[in-house]
Amino acid sequence: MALLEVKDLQVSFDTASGRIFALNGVSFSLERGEVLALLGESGSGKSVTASAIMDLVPNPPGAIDRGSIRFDGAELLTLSGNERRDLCGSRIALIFQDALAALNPVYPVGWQIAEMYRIHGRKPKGGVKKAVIDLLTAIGIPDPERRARQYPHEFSGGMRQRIMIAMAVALEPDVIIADEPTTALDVTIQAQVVDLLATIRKRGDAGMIFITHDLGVVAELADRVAVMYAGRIVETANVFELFEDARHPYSLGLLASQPRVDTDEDELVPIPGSAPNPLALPSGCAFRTRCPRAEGLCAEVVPPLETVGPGRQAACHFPVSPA
Amino acid sequence: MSFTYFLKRAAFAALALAALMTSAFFLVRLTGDPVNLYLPVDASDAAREAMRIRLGLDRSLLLQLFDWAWDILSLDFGMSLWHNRPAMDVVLEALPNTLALGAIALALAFTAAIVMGSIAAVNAGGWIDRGVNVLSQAAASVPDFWLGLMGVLLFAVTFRILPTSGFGGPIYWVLPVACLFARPFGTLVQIVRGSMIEALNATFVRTARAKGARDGRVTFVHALRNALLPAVTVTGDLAAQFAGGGGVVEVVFGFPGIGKLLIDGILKRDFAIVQASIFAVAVVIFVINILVDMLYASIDPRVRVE
Repeated sequence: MALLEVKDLQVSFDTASGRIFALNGVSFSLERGEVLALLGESGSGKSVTASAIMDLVPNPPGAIDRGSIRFDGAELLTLSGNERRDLCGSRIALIFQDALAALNPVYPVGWQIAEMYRIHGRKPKGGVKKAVIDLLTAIGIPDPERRARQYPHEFSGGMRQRIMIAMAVALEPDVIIADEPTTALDVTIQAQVVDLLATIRKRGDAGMIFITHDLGVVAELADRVAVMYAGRIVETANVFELFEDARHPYSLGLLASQPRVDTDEDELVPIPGSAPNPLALPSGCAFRTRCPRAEGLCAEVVPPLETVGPGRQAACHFPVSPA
Repeated sequence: MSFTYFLKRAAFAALALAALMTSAFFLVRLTGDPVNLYLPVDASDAAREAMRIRLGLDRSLLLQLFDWAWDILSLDFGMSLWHNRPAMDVVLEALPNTLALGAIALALAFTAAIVMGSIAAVNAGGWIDRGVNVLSQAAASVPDFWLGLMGVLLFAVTFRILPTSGFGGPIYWVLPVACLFARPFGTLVQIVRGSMIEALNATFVRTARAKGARDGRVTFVHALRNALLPAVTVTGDLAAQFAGGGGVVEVVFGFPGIGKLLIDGILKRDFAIVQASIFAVAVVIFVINILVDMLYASIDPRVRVE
């Protein structure tokens, strides 16, 4: 049984100009000890997926129309609000993209980490204060006793993101969702934060969902990749297979549009056009208007996510043939 | 807040106070000659001149100014013409009444506004929110003299459960407090609602929910403290206004506060009372501003002055 299993998830939002379907039947699963990367452009539904798992979809205007999210055998969508809250933080934790906005500006960071224990009534050995100091030490914050009393604005961007991470791992959750944790950081700091996340994943058997649009980070951290486009998962594969042998034309386009050091290719090929307007998605396959392989069928039938090899799936009528 | 910062503030306040008192000195003398008011119409010129000499009003204005400034520096505010007692003694009897009246009204308004504003923000767009909106708009717009007169008419004249005016036990405070309460309450509800909606949509509130915090904790621990700042600013402003007296409300209810004392002092050309009142109110406003700054820094670490 998978640790976390999302099936046919559909999430929509009411907007002034009509109903937007942010997720159109997203399915994936996460095993213990695995890092799954959710890869896609902005607007593809990566963050909404995280929000749906954490019960953070604002309602109204948002609503989960159908689907299922099973965690450790239990269906989350039928639980009460407070039961969902009790799981959040303790067993499923979220790391936000912009730590400056995500930390509360008026409380010391030590207080904010300690709050994890307080909310969930945990009493760590040696006391909460010691647990906080230990966490800060573990994530590489020098002079932790003094720093714990300081406020978010007194830290650098990288340090703030480390504190977000410390908060997320404080109660040793089973699932850690990292929503673009490195996007707002300088490149050198990005590498440090990725290293920290890599250390954390080696330490326990938690599953990690890593949301990103950065192929470099995917290559470094992920075991498996789910590529998202316009609210759907269009391809899942293990990370080596995706880089060597992508089946969906969109995955292939993504790979060709980013610089790589492992090929001789020195020309970057952008994907033509731009991400579709979520209010007016193309009929059939949402990618067909930008796809070099599209044919008549693509406009009529939405391609289902089908198995195309051991442990890998693609949603395409005319997948790229194996290399 | 460091000591040097406080000294700097105090120095600026002293400068402002000097300018204020000098203008008060000239302005109060524009109200007219007290001698004409206090002596009978048929008093002889000699009697008028004698009173002017006794009050020191016969000397040149500049000489009076220097003399008066010297007295103030030695904290001597002169004798009240009307009360025939040291002016500052009279002022210090009225000031606590005004401060208590304002503090009670503001404390009630602030507390009620936090509760109502937060409830409206949590239910933004719903019927509770709309109800609170109508109520607070009405409270913020109703003129206090009208509210005072209607209160007297209803509770004192028709129902005969509250006194029309005067001063005594707690019952004399009910109508004045209610009248002063309305406008700050209405204004503050609107402000708390707005800043609370903003705070509830902030990313750090999402973080709190992601950490597993339930609604009460999210609203009152995480959002509210961030939403308090604008309300504190406005309350500080209102407190400074109220320190100058409940104005019309004190007059309507014959409430012996600094506002009524000041207005009577002007009508009676009691220069010493007017000047002493202005001085006392200015000092209170300075203290209120310092307190608001300290409160601000204790709520939001980002504005702390090193």
